[in-house]
Amino acid sequence: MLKEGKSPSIEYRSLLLSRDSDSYDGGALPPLKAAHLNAPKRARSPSIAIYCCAGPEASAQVDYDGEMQAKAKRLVRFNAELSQPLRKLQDLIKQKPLGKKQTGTMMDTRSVNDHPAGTPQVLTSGDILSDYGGSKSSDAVIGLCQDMCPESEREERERKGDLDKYERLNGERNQTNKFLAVKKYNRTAERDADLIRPMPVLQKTIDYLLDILGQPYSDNFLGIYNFLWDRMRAIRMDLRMQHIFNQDAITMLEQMVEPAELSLDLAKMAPEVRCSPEIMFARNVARACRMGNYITFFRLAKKATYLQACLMHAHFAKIRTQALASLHSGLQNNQGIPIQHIVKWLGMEGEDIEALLEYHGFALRKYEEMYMVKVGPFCNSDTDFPIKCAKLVFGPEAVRKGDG
Amino acid sequence: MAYLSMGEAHRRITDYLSCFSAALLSQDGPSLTPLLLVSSNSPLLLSVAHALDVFSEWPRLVDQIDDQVQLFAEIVSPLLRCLQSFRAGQFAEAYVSFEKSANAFLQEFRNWESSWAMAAMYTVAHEIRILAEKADKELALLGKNPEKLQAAGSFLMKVFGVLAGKVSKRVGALYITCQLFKIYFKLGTVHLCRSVIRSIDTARMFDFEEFPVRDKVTYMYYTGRLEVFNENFPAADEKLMYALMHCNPQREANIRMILKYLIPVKLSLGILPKLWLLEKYNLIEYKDIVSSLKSGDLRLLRHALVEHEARFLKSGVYLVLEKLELQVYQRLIKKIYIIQKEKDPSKAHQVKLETIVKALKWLELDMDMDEVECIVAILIYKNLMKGYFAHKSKVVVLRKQDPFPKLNS
Repeated sequence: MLKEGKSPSIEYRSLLLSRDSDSYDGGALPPLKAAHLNAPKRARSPSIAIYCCAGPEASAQVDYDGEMQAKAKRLVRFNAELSQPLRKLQDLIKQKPLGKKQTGTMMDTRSVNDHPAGTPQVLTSGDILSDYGGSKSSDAVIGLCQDMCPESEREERERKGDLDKYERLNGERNQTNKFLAVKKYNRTAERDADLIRPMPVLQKTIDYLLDILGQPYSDNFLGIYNFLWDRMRAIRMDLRMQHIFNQDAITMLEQMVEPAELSLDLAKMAPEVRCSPEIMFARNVARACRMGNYITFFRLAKKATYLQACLMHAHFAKIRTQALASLHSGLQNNQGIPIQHIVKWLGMEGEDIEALLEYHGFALRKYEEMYMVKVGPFCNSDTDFPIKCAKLVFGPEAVRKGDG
Repeated sequence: MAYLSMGEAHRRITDYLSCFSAALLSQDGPSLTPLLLVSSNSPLLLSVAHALDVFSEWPRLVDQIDDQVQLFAEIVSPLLRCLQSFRAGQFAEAYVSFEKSANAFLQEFRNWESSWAMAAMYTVAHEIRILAEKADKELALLGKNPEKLQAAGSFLMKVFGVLAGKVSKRVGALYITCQLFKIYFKLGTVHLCRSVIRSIDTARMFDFEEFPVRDKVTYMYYTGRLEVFNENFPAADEKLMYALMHCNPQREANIRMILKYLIPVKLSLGILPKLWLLEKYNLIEYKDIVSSLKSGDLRLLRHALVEHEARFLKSGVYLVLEKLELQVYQRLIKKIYIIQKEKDPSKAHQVKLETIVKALKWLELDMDMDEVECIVAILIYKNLMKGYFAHKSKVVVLRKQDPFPKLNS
């Protein structure tokens, strides 16, 4: 059962807001305004709690020792999951090649650069191209970088003072070392093997990042989580450059929202590929996402492999916002739904459901169980609630949550 | 292959060169155009190509032409080489030569004040695209990188720039734009269309109405398709309808192409085509989809999508059609409502979720209460249904007045 009385979520919000807002007067809480949480068109919100919420045994135990155990479990599972794809790679090699993926996309990156001066400026579709990385052929790059951050990048960022708080040695802006620096996300995909981290190093890096997650809650947690989000993105990029996973399916899971090129990409695939399990999974996920069918989406997420879930996670926030908006529009005023249903439907096991609900303008009321109740308009429809790991919010005095 | 004497070969080549030179000098567009139609395999060009093979020293014949056009040799020599390569079925080489010729032609074209060579320029634009497509096919078969179509795109961007630069030539910009669209669509780089569209739509120098009808129809067809891709249905409707209305009714193939995209748009807006239309233009693949929307048969919709998956994906309408699911759900619930109304009008507006689950089961679709509630919520959210649901009693309570509004734009 949830702890009654002062909801930790209010504390959390006020701490968030005290960083930003001057207008907070202790009365009605203004909506969360952090510019960098507003993704321009695709509402991708940073999230690190991927390790917490995805997977069948999704409800993490949140008391302190339980935390440690849970974290250890996650690492074990994540390790298991990471070593799986190496076997998958063997399978991929045995099968037919997965078609000339995205000759379109790879030409995009080139034609952008090729236009002679004086011709009209060419727009790219932003996230789509940059995240894809535009690798030219189906040859995988083999990563050789043995550190969490390639040395050349480390040195350059030291020179420029471009070090995140968590990377600084003794708090110095211009000093880091290989135990602290973590490769940053770069829009342009470098194919230089020395800059790409192989699997074991990526695993180490993830371990390290998870450790940071385990640090006590501080009022700079926005800082942690943007840092972690960026570094995770870089890890995904390295994974992709090495073609470790079924690239088409990966890209599809990431590009779920963009209809135009997805349609053409699917058309280019041979039918066997299009109907392969990974692609079908990605398509079903994409369909659920487009329909706003949160039930199917989160059911798929719970069935997903850990890595698939990691990729889907980029869209969790958006789907949840839309789900709550839909439910909101279908409820009468002063009517509601038991929170435990919402937790289950939205895959929020181990996460702060109250904060999410309050953020969007629902009230929390206890009847025979806790309900989310519609009391007014839906708030923050265009700004997704940042998903956080439960323990970031609750800290040591965390409460055990039952399975939703 | 018929025997060709050296003398005859010589004559053919010099004839071609004199024609070319004369056309340029007298600014005779209609005479120039047929000389550029490499991919047409016209008897004239085939015979010239044959002659080139026989008379291998033809380059010096080019030099012998005393032509006042500065770049005459740069235009004509690569063009002749292209003819040779094309006839020999070496398309990548043909493309490379043609591109050289085209670049030289463009440079001269830039200097000509009037638009006498516009038709020739169109031909060059068209030919370079066709040659590039053939070249890329060949390269792909050889396991090489198919990059010629993209190169053709770059060339056309240059042409666009040249046309935009002179008042007399602006009218050609739309044709070039359409060639670019065809390239980008083929390459799958549809987002690159944006920059050209921006130029056409926003640059004050272009007056859309001044462009020839044929180009306007083509332009609206492609921009309409882009709107379909981006799921902006009202805009797609507007553009594709323009194309349909202004398209020559006798061009049935073109009408069919427009309808192929217009129909999914109309369906998304809740407008259903008549069966005769589908039959007349051979668009039967939409038949089951239309039926499913009429009857609320979700199973039929899904089946139709599977059956014609390849075709719908290729034309890029698959995702649009998939979205029709919501409308099918709406129709299903409406049918339940209508049936209930006949039985007991006073209670009709209350639809149990259970009933919907049963109806879906009857269609062999296994959905549970949670999912049905989710669908109901989405339908209400998207204004496909007016009412609310009561979670505890598992009922949808529909608004008494017009609970299933017409789809608005």
